[in-house]
Amino acid sequence: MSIAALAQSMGITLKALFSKPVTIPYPDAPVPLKPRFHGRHVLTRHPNGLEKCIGCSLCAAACPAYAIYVEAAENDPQNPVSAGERYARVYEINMLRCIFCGMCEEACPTGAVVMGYDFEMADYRYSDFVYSKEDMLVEVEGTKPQRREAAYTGKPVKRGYSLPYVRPELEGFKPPK
Amino acid sequence: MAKVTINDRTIEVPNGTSVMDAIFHAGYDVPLFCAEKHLSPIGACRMCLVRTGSPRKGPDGNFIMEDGQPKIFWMPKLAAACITAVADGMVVDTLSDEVKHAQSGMVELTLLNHPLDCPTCDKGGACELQDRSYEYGLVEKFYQPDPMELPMYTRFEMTRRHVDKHHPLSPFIVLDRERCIHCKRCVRYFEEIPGDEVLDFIERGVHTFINSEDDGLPSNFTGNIVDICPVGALLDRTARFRARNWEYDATETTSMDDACGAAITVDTRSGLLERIRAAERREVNEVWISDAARFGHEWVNENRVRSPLVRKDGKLVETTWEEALKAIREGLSGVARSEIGVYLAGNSTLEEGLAALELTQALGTPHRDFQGRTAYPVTGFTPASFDELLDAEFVLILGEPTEEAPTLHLRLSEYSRGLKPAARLNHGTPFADLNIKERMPRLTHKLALFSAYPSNTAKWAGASGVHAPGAEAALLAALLGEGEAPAGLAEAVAWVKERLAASQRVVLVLGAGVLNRPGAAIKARQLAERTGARVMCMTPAANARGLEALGFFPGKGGAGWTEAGPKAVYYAYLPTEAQLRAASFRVLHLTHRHPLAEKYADVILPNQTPYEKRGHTLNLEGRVLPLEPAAINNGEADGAVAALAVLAEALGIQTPVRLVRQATRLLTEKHKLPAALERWLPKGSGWAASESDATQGTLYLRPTMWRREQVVGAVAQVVELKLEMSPATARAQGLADGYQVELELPGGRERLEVKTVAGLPDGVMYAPALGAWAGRSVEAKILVGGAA
Amino acid sequence: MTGPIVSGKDPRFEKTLYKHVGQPNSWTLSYYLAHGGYQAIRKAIAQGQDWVIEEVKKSGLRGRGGAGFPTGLKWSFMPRNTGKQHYIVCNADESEPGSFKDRYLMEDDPHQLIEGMMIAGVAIQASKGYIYIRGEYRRAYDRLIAAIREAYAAGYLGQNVLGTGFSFDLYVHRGAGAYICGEETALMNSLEGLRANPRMKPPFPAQAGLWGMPTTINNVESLCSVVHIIQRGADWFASMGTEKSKGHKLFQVSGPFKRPGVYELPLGTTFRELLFDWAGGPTEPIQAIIPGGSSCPPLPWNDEILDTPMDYESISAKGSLLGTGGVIGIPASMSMVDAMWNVTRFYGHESCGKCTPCREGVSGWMVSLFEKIGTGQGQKGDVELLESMLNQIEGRSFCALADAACWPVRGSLKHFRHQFVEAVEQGKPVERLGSRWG
Repeated sequence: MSIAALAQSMGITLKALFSKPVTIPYPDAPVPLKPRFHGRHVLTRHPNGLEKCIGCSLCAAACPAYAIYVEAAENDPQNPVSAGERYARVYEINMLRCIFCGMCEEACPTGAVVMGYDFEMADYRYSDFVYSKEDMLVEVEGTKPQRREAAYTGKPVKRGYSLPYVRPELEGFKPPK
Repeated sequence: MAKVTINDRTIEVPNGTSVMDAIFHAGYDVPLFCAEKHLSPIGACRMCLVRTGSPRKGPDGNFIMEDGQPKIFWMPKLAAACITAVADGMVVDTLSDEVKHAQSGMVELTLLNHPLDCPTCDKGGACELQDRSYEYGLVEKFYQPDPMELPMYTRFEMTRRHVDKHHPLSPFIVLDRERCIHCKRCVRYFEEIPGDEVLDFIERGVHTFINSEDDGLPSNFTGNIVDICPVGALLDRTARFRARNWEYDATETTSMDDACGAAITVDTRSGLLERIRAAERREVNEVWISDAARFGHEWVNENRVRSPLVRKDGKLVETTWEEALKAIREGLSGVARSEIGVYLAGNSTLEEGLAALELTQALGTPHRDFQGRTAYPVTGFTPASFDELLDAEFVLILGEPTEEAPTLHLRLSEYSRGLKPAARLNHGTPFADLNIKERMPRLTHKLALFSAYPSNTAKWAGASGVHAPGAEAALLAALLGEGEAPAGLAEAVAWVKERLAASQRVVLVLGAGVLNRPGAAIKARQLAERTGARVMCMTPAANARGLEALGFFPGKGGAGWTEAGPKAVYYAYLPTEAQLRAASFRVLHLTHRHPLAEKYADVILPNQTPYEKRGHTLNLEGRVLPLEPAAINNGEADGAVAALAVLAEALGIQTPVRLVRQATRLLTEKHKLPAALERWLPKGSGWAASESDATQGTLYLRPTMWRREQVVGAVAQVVELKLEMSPATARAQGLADGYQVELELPGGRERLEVKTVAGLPDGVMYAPALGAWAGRSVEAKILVGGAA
Repeated sequence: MTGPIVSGKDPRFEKTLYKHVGQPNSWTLSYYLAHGGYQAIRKAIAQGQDWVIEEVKKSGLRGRGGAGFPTGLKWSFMPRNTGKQHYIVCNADESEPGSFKDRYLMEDDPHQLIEGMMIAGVAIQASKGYIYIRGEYRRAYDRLIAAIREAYAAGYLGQNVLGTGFSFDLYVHRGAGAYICGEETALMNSLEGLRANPRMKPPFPAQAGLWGMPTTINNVESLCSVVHIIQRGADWFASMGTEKSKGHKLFQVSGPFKRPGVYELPLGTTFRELLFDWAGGPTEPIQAIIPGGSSCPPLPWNDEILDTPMDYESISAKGSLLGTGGVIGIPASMSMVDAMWNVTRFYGHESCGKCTPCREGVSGWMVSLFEKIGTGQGQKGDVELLESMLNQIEGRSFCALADAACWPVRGSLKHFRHQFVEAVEQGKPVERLGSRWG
């Protein structure tokens, strides 16, 4: 090994020492995500507040991992949950099975299920990975463990990512500030 | 036989076959909407347009040739394959551009006014319109002029027709008029199959819609229109939005709702029975089932006994089968073996019957029976098959087929139109059988019907009449020429006698009213022997013929299912309170909890409904039919075979049958039970019925299609629980229309509304039997009465 | 003059069918008898079934309801001595727009029709006849009923007519207003009390018609013509008309002509003679004529067409149909788009709803598309779309109603395509027929 080679390698080190780091100090700093990131699903609503999901189960049919389970019921015309005749009484996604491929979003005829951004879903119990409708509706911020922690500490839900903009499909979704 | 060339394949089909069936027979496909098995082809949807042609002979008598081949002269217009009969030498083309253009054009027209609500439609995934649109709709050649352009998905840019959506036709059926494609299958079905014309088209042109009269769909066979609707216009309300079609676990089994043994498909999801559809069984029900078989399933899911219950300190507590075994062992200690009674439900399988028979024989007890056994043995009659029924020259019915054996009513509809079983082609039943026509005249000279209550089947009968319950023996005696006909029936009886004498192949159909009156049944047997008639017995118990054939009926001195007697009892159904009270130790093997069981049962074992059983049954033809268990979550429930094995173990007896499959093997090996769908007609010994077994009383329990447990949910809205009688009888009883009365019936107390019906025999009250007691008369015990 | 009679001005031609129309009390039995009535039926009964059929075959009479099927041939299809009840049905449901000939035959000469039906009854061994009359023809219905009563009273109808052993009962049924009831199988359904949907053929009515019995259905004019054929002989009838279209025919003229109405002329008369010599010529410029009722393709108004003889073959050669002979003139001041819109709306309204192409195509799409073009909302490609739709509907429907709706539109597109294209390009609502009368 020559001196020249040594100097060259030291030079690289020296150069890197004064350049901006590529790593992110997560979880202290948010991860910058691309708008088309495939994270935890969001169940969107129409502007009038009705759920877009009509319980058609096409997402479950399209799901290659059999992660989705839907049970439908008939809307009460006086007090509808969704627009139309039927709504999803039960809507569950098993996040352990989900491979975040986005086929459900492709299959959805009403644009109800959209891939969101939450990815921090690590938890302790199997049952906690089954996300129900209450965990995925658009107004819900964060994942189950994040919300549990927020409820415990009394602080707002902390989501560890930032976005340049939100995809328009995610109607009503509020990105983290 | 006619030789037909379909595209490149030459086949032979019987003369009179439709071009559509010839195409299917050759293995090619042709789209269709309006044609349906067992219905008349009408050529309304125009989907099956094909090009037909044939070679022609010149003046010299030889075929006109072209390039060494006979020249094909094509018809100037495309023909609807369903209403065109094949001709020898015919050539059919289903693949040319002209045909494809016509078919895709027709899909386009059909879809014009069809709403795009497939995601919320219960037919989605099993929809013929979806399939045909996908296969035949978007032929790129016609809808994508340039390969670089986007395909043209629609050319219809106007507002679609908007009409009534989810319009409830009855508590069972919901109609979506926007989805209707006017194939007329449902309208034709009602006219042709059950003969109840309750639906029709209203208006014309693009405004045409389906409607019924205001009072729902008064027919026992409404559900079949859900199966045959090619789109989601007619849907099952009891299964509304329960699951998408691909999510159901479908199990094909046999309906145990009546003695016909119709094939059904049980659809379950997540362990719940959600829907029942008809399955095809050409020998028996073709593709039709009754409403009781289809909609009477809501009771299955709710309030089930899921684990054994044992009475401890006067209370029933949930426990395990092991604990139940212990409790049974304790309870049976000290009871003499001949004092133990084993009673099965009428819809038990042959396997269960065999297990019970083996056990009671090992015990040496005569106390054994099945619920709903008629007073006269049905094995005493040689049964007719449905094919023999269609071939008969004359059919005499004593009973009410629409209620007692609904499938039989539908086959009688076929019989009264003079139809014979259709030819079996490569694809099975023909889709467009040109022998079937719209509004065929009913051959009333081939049918006669007498019943104790007005029957719907009588509309096809050349002679019919209503007699008082109990007059069956007199009626049959008159038919035998041994006495006067009951009042008002002399003319009809004379006609029937004449027809019986003139006919070769006669089929006798006997209802529970005759079979429960040995005097009448003996006369019926004489009549059958004299005319050489085959007999179809509409027994209240679904597997009566099978259980009787095994020899499962009371031994000498044994108590029948209507009597109390044995000290310790095993009931696979809920018996009467008197029977429970009479026993000292009672093991009830039930599917559902019931106040009576809570009060009396010492041990309750969880039972399976017929939908959950594996095994075999025998229908009224003597045909062996298989039962397959559907995926219903019933906890620890098990059938009678397992329960009786527990009983045997508690008694320290070794029986040869402990498992269902063991029983099946024993049946085939020892009892020579043939394969499924074949007929098993062993020489049954039967029992000696005496005329003193006749039932007496002023209250006639008229047979009903529905059983008591089925009358919940939507069924409860349809079934009318009425106490019917003639106006004179009502006056004599001090009752009037609309009075609410509570009656003590064998099956428990029932609240009924009084309804007077002119024309019913005087001195008799009619209550719906709702199960095993059908066709029997009892003393009327009116507990509470008064104006509503 | 020699040769066939092909002009109403030919001195050898005389009015027969309409001879008594407009005469006082022409509908009474006494008038009819005074003018030689009920002689033909005596002759027919005396000569027998075979002679009647042969005579009608020889005369070359073709069905006057529109399709032009030889009447004698139709009768010969009827099975004989079946032991079943045979029926003769008169199709008097004259519902084709532009056609109004049968109305006056029934109003002013009902006995002629009764006699014609009886002769047909002889020919096909029918002892029962039905007249299915258009519901709106109230006066014709009343006169028919009165005439039938008179005929019964005088022994011309009923058991053992005139002591000849021939029995004939006649019933009149009023339609409830459906064009489709002019289709023979739908007419039979309607007569049976069912929904007026066309039935499947085969079986043809001759095998299984009304209530499953052998039935023949004829037009009013055909049956009336038979009376004169029997009376005067087949040769007299065949002396009129062209080689394949023999006899006389009732032509109707409607539209802006001086004397619109019904004209009895021999077949083979030219349009020019009918429209100028008899109807007095147009009162305003005409752009098109529909030669045989609204279901026939319109033809342009020019010398070539005007000199075309009116018979089945010549009009076919020009691309249209003789139909019922109801000639409609469409004035040049009117848009063909509006005319066809009106025709399509009529057929859309009259579609029975049985088969898909007619229900969805004619009744749904074509009507909507015409509304779109006619109200000035047409887009580029709409005319092509209309044309492709015609291809999709024509020849693929269950009965001929959808075809009848397509032919006039197709004919207009052939001769007057520019008007459609203009209507689409200009995007202005077309002038509506109603606007002519404020």
